[in-house]
Amino acid sequence: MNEATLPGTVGMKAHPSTDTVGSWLRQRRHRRIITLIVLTFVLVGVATLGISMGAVSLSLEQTFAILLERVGISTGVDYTRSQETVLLSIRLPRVLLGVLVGATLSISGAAIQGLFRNPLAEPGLIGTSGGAAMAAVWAIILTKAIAGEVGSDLIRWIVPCAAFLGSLLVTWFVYRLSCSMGRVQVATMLLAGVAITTFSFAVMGLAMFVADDSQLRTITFWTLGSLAGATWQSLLIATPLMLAAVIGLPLLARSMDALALGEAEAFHLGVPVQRVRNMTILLVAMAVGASVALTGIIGFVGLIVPHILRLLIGPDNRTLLPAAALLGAALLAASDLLARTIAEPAEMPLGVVTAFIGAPYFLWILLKNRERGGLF
Amino acid sequence: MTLQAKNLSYRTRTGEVLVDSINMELKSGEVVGVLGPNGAGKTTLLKMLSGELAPTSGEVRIAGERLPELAHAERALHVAVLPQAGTLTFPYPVIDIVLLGRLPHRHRSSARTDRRIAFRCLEQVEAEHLAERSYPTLSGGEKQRVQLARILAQLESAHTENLSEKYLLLDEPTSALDLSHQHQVLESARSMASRGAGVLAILHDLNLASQYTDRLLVLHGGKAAAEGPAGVILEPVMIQRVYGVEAVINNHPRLGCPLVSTTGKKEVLSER
Repeated sequence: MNEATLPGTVGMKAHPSTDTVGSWLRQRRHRRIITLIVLTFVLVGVATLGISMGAVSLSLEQTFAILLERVGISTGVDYTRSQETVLLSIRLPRVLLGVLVGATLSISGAAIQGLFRNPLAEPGLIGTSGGAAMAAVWAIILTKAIAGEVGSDLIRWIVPCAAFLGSLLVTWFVYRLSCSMGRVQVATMLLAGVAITTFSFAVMGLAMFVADDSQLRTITFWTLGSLAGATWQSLLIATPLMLAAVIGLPLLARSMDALALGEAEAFHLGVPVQRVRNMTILLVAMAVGASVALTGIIGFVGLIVPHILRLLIGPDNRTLLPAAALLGAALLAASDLLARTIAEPAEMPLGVVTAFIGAPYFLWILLKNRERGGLF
Repeated sequence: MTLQAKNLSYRTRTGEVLVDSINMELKSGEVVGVLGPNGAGKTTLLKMLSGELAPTSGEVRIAGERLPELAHAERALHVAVLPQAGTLTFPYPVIDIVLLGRLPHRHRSSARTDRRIAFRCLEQVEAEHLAERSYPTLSGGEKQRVQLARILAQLESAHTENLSEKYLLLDEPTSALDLSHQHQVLESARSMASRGAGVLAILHDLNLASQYTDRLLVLHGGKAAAEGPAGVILEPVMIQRVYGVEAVINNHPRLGCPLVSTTGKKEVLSER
């Protein structure tokens, strides 16, 4: 018996009907569309600020003038040659990289959470990023050792590939380890992630021990994360890998919704569970591998962004995944802007900024869930 | 139209036989109850019938087609399964859970039809007032009813009321429910059967089984210990052999079906 049929409560709440549920669903759809539109505007805004702000100052007019000039439209706004160089060969690739990496990490976080059916999974926490960084560092050292200086050009290609393989291997391993009888053991998943991340830091420490000075600087960058290495060339290599995830994962959204019910339940709903799982791991490993290869480990973005969005628009992956890409892109672009302007002209590592925002947020999630009886 | 199991066996890697050469048939329009003590192989049998678990020998056929040869989406249009308690950590609203039941129909049915069917199925399990609630906040019994609504929605078709060639496999559908909802769930099962569906339900309550099923299959140690209508096979010797408890069988004063009263191995009641 529901409350509407109890005497005394009749009329207080209308008996639900297809219509009321239908209009509730419609309102929700509007809210989702509005969220996506707002997020798009926020992203464009943050990216524009990111391009114009920094050590060499540029006004918004100058920024647009330089960009428009490139596509052949003359505006008559004055700017110097050095302003143009800074914008086109330093800031633009950097902001684009930030946007791509942010989108990649967030959408991968959301997808990994769908796969593990748990909101605590994240590429950084389950070791995906650690595996990628570990493989990348050794790729650098070994290539230099074997091929010498000739290796420098090779490295640009070898590092993303090694990072991809590293993250693929680790994600697959953690998934197999923590999954038994179609259910994910969350404790195993998180502890395996901790073990692998610790191990990868040890491996990187070992690498620093054998590395020469010039290598050392490249290696430190992996552990803290930075967008400073962005060039058009590195973007060219990594963009297809990251875009594959940003475009490919939303295609699996409905299957991930079914997977949220459980693997057996998804199977009974006709979802090819194994294929969806393999595709997700492959796309995430590719994208996270590529982003780690270019920027090092940037933690917590993949955890916070999907979590905030679930509170705002619910867990439906059809909206969650694209929204995560947009918000993640905006958040990382904003964090990078903060990282390079807060102590100008010095630059704070980006990983430091995201960890400062992310770690307390993670603890807050744990606290909130403890009040509701825990996540496991 | 049948769901047919031939010589179905399941042996674990360690050599333990969980299900041993079961032959059975689930026909259109009938409700079959599967009974048996814990560990008798009921759930393993159901998993093999649904294709979730591949039998180590024997085969399952739907309308003559071998189950593993059906495409995933095709199978899901014919067989729906209510599993034992699932885990869902994400706060999906109830209506979304039921709408997931429409996933196999994704290219055949409009969003509007799906919504209408989902809501009707919620009404059928008396859970329409929960439509907008977040699933993880529901009680155990409410969750079970919502899951049932989901699989009812999975088998419904936009074009016909006829459910022949549709099979409903229920793993302990009444385990978390209060008395009135136990009856209501099995009434839903009966009404699906009256529209042509074949329903198989794992049950623990012998009296519910006796009231609502056409036939029973009693498993014991992976083997079929008895098979047939409740009125024929529910008798004290069989119950003693399978469950190890004393049973007294009467006729239900109103329904006429067997009414089973059981006592433990030691008759505590008579000594009191």
